[in-house]
Amino acid sequence: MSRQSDEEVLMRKYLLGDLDEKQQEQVEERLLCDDGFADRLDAAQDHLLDDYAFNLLPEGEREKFEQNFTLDGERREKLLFAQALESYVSADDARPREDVRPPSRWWKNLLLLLGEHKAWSAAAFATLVLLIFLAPKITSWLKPDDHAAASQYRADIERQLAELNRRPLEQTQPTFDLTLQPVLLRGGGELKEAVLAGQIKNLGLKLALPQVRYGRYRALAQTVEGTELFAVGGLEPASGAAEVLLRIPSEFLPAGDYQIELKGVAADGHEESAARYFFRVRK
Amino acid sequence: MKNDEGLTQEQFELLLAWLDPDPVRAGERYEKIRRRLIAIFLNRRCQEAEDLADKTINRVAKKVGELKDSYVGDPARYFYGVAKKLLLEYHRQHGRPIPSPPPPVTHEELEQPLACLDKCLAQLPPENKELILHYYQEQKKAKIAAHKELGEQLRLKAGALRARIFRIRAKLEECLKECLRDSPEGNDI
Repeated sequence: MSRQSDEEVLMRKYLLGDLDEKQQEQVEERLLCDDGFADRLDAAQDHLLDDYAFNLLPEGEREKFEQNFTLDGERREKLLFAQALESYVSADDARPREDVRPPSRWWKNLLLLLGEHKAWSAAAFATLVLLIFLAPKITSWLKPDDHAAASQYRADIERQLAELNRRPLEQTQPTFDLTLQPVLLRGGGELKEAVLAGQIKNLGLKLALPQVRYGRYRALAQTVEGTELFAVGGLEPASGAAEVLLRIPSEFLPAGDYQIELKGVAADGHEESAARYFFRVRK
Repeated sequence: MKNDEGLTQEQFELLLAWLDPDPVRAGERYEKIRRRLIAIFLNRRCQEAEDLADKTINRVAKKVGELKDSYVGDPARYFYGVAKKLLLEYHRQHGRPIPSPPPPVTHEELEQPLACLDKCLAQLPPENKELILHYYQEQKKAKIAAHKELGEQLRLKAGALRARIFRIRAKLEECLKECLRDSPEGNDI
């Protein structure tokens, strides 16, 4: 287990019933009044359950866990998850892991190769120069005009979408609002429908956020088969809201079934898939 | 313990309005407070944590009419004060029972969760699946150095690595719960 901060130690002791009355009260007051603290305590509880399921608790802590950690339905589910994870990992342990190291730069490898095989260096260098000069031409041979037109069209759509989603709500045209819940398993639940007919100019998708939250999101619209249509970045939930609003002009959505992949943007700019939503458009 | 009857609609609405003038935010606040009260009662070894949380809320709601204009500060603190009184009453009545340790889980009990976990892992982006499995394999071996090495490979500091792992873990957990609810044996859990 990684080194713990003072707060993590305090939280673990609290969960194991190992604090005096005054300290317990301090933790509980913060738990009720401080959202950040409450989230970190939830994480500390998950960590403790993992350590219990993975048999990583020192004997004293294991004893305290068993004497103090009262299980209700939700905690039982959490423990079962940790136990399933432990069992899965044990069974999976023999499988060789793929390297998660980021791929090294191709040109570094090439230089290394040229350095090791000097006889081939000149020919390889000449080929490389030729490729660099011919690259634009080759690209134009390989890339048909309609591909370029499609890229241009998508860029236009995304520009309009970005502008629409930046605009204040009251300045938008008639909108059909649809609230969507994240779907974790495909095929679960009934498909919600938007009827984009008559005066309706936009579809307003209220995407309910899952428990894990980010400050900013990027939505990727796809057909149900997974073909990418367009993306909208810079989406932020309103203060305290548990949803983000995504507005799409009706003209960009012909009748059919769609899915939206919502990607959370972490503080370091890294994107992670946060949720997926499915809906149907009728005209 | 005092008799705690249910709330009238008016008392409940007054409580929500006290928590936040915006009804949506008030509802969210209410849920948060309830969830956290349950956690507090559980951590104080109360088996009926949910009942006690509801009783706390009922008692507060019945007082809101009197205190809403004079109370200063975060309403959550008031809930805590009431919860502590209720806890004393509970312990006077029931003592401090030691919870029974979690029973060992059998292979049969894990069959369905494992099938769901497999399904949920398959829905993760491959790099996240690799990352979480690698992390927990090392966790199993309890090798701090291995976590450090994994962090270095991904150019992440220990805290950032853990935050990323727990984001993936939370998604998996949510997926597993949904999968178990949808499965025929789901109701037994």
